[in-house]
Amino acid sequence: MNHDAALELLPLFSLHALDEAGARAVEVHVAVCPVCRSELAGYAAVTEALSGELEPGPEVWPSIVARIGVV
Amino acid sequence: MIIETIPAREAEAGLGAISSMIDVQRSALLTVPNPRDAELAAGVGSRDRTSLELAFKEHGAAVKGVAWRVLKDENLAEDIVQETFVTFWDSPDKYDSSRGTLRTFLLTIAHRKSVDVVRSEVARTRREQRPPDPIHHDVEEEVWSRDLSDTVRNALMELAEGEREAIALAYYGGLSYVQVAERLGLPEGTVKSRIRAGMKKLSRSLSGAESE
Ligand SMILES: [Zn+2]
Repeated sequence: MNHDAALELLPLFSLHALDEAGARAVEVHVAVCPVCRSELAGYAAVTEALSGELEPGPEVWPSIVARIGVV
Repeated sequence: MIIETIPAREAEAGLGAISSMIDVQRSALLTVPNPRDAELAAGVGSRDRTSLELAFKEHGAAVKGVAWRVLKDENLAEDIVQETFVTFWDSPDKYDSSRGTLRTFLLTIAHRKSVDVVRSEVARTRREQRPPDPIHHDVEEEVWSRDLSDTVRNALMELAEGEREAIALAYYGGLSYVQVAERLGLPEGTVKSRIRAGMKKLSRSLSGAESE
């Protein structure tokens, strides 16, 4: 995928709204293109802002510890 | 902006209500590489539980936030938090600090996993138990819901209605743009360009808020 095509798809890519093949093609280009990477960082800030924060309950961390099995 | 002087610990403590402004500020910071991220990932790589715990304390609430937005279910969202941090523990080498922040990396995992759940049968059953809402109502509800800051809300309200709707269905609804087009009865190209235009505006207005 060339730069222009990838750049156009970045907003959809950042929302995970592309199909798998499309997402993979964008990913391959982004890995080698600093311009697209910085553009993508801007969209990542948007999706993060759209998400907000909710504190996990007290039992979440212990259950992670139980799964990773390290003391 | 004064927010920058608020100690990070206060935000990390998850005193959610302190301010949505802090969230916005932190999300703006997301585009700046953070040297601590590489350290944390290296720690996790050397099987240091404390590093994982620090990452959890710092980003756990954001990870749950994104999962809840998509799943609208407390238990499912906490399952995703668990899965996300276990995934990070299992393959910390997948995180490349030169390509983005740890927060973005973790939120991406969480959103992808949430979207997978939405498409699974369990979630479908749960969703079907709720009374069906018109799409429009869903979108408005997202925009006004409790944990979005005024800045984000205002930025969303500045979009054209069709742009807001397409973005909300894709991100909160976990739909691909093809599915969004089907759901709205619009050509795929129209949905693509609405999402693109809306995301560009959001990116501009949220980074504008950062530099004020
Ligand atoms: Zn590029």
